[in-house]
Amino acid sequence: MASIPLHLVNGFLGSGKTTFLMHYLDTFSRGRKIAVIQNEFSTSGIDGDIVRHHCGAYRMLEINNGSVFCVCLLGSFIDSLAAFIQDNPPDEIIMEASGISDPISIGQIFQSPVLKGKVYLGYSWAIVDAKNFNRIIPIRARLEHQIRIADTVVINKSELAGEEMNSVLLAVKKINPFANVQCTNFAKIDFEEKKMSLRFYPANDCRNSQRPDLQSVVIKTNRLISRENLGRFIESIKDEFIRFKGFVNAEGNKKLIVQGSFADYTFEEMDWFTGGTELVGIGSPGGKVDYTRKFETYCD
Amino acid sequence: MNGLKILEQAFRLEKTERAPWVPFVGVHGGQLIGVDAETYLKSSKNIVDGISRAVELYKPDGIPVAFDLQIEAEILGCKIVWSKENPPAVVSHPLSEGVLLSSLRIPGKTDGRIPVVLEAAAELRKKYPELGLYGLITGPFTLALHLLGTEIFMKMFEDPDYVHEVMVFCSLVGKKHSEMLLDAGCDIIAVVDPMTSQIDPLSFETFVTPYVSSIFDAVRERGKYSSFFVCGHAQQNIEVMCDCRPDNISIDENIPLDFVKEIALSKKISFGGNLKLTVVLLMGDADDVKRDALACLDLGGDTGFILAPGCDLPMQTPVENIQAVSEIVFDRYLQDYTRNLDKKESKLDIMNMRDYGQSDKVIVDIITLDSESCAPCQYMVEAVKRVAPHFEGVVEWREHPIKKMEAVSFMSSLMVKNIPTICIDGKIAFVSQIPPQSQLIEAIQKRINEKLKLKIKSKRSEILILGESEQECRDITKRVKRAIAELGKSTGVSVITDKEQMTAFGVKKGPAVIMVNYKLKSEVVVPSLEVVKEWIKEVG
Repeated sequence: MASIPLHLVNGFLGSGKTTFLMHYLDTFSRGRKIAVIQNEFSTSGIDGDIVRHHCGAYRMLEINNGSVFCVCLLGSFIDSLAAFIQDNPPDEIIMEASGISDPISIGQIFQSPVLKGKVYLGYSWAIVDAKNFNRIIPIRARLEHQIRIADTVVINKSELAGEEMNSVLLAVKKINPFANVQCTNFAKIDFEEKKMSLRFYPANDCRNSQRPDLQSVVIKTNRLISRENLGRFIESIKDEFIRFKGFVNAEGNKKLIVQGSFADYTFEEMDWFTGGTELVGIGSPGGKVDYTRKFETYCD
Repeated sequence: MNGLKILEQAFRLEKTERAPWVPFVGVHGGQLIGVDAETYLKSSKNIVDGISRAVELYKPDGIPVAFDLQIEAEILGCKIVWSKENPPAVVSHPLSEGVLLSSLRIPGKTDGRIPVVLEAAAELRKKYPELGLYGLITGPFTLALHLLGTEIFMKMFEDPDYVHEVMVFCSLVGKKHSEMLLDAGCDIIAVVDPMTSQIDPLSFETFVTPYVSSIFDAVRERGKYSSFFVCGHAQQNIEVMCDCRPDNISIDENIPLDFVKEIALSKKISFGGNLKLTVVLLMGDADDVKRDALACLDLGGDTGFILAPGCDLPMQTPVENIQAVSEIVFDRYLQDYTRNLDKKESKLDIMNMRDYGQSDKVIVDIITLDSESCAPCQYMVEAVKRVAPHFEGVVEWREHPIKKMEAVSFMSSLMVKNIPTICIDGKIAFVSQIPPQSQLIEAIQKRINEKLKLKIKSKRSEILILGESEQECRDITKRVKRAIAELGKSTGVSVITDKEQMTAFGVKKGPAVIMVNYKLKSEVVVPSLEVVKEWIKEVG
């Protein structure tokens, strides 16, 4: 069985995640089995009903972990997800994450024995409510984290934001210079770039080689690494991964944003923000390698 | 020493003989006695049985009676949904559904599931007088979020007074709940407030600090200890958490332990954590656990540190993994063993390549993905294969398919960044593009010439003339010098008349002539032992 991409839709409550989800289903569900996972808690399953009745969703898994969706509750999610894909595997899964869940922790569980090789972290979108972006200062750190790991940031409700729009756009670009940023209303975005995101081998001639089953790997650590050793580490693993991205705590209080694919990678220095190193790789990594440990061997 | 005493030492920042160990057994206790989460958390007998089993298996110094952050919320009208393997989840928020704050009453000891926990605490107190019993309460901010839903984040901006009112109420609930737990026999009150990880330090100081501090003060007044549990990305709040004056703060793997240690100790507060919950305890094996536990122990030290998982242990956490923690806590020998093993394994796998390409032959390395499955890789290998015979044994080539680990190290060591790549004597020569035959030959020939030049340059030689006296050596010295002059060489000439030196060269009687060839083997760098050995073999 080929492994299934699990895409993440992040965003704070009310930012337009469900609308986005339906737009996605409208665009891609013809002829494709797209399963939906919803982890929303405050609307008492209302969103679930909307999506369930939307013709596009192939199957639905609702996980209700309440408002405290922390790392200690991920254990049972592993089993529900494994059971969910067991009998009628979908072509892809799209997960509407709770506004305050931690996407990187979700990625980590794909390394568990029951999910390894079956599901990998696919694309990730962060939906930003342009109108309220500057009003939810207390939780800005969470929001920034979601933006930081996103492939595409959708700045939604841009018409309502008026003059604030520019400052939101600048802020988003500063938080994640690599993300594709789309300003929109009703979460309607152009999905072209999504298909382009998983270029496999950059050299055209290599494209015909058999595509191995994809997996995603999360590297999460609090150790510091030098820029030089980070380069060495990436050199040593990058051919096992088709994409690699995240942020790294480097020596000398430096924060680096890393982004790369098979052929090359870049890292850019960022303003400091609190939090450890978090890297996500997608590819065909070696069976028994513990990448966090491997990464740590390059740390000082 | 008994568990409670060693915990108290840690709380007082006294040096402990070893780090105290507190496994946060919540619904995992249900797994230990074969019941689901709901059956477990609704019965004081099950909790006592589950914790007793955990005490037997994990030899803790302290343990929570129950780990359930929905007890207060359920009594206050939040709807909860039970699941088999998790504590229940709050799915409705009365204050955002029209219920008035003024209509809510502070729960007492007969309300909801509070009596279940109080009974279990009293029973465990009797059964284990020397065990540190943690009574857990829902932190006021997390409780406020249960009552109000995520609306609270907007309200903090739009209606801060209301949020303060809710927080006052939630802290009174917490205070009352801690009193009841202490009365039932708990030694330590843990204020579990994971949702504070969502907010920034300024909001924390405004909306959390005053309320949570009042709970810690109340616990202190009763002569008991308190701990502040937080999980998630809460690094930004560690300092403000310490300023709330708990006796201890406990964190998960999202925050570096050394960071917390530095801040907590500077504020004279003990700290605890942060065994990795999902990746190691749940998904890893016993060896991973030992390594992780040791890393925590080494970072935490022996003053004011309590070893604990980052949060409530997932129900299905393998028993042997938690036992592995307890093994390493009590066994210093095992700690040393694990530490050394780890050191060996973590040696950086980057080879020392500075001596690469020093042999007489020219080495051509082709770094490929795998020449069988990648067309450009295959052509590149073919190109080298065709060219090598032209050099009649002087050129040696090899392929390094990076699907093999050693090839990956080799590639990194040569700083190769693209596939396929040709390196000549360790230097990157062709990247990605397959060179035409003529270019490849040219590049190899260039390297051969370079080596030859070096060889010629490095050929310094000396002629030694040995004899009993200057007199004895005079004639031969003259001839040698003339020969050198006629050939236009710069060979040095030395006369040795010392008997001992002559013997050292194996000369019994003079005059004798010895030719010495000097060969430059390395410059600036210090060659590795292996390379030096190869040189020595060369000279016999």
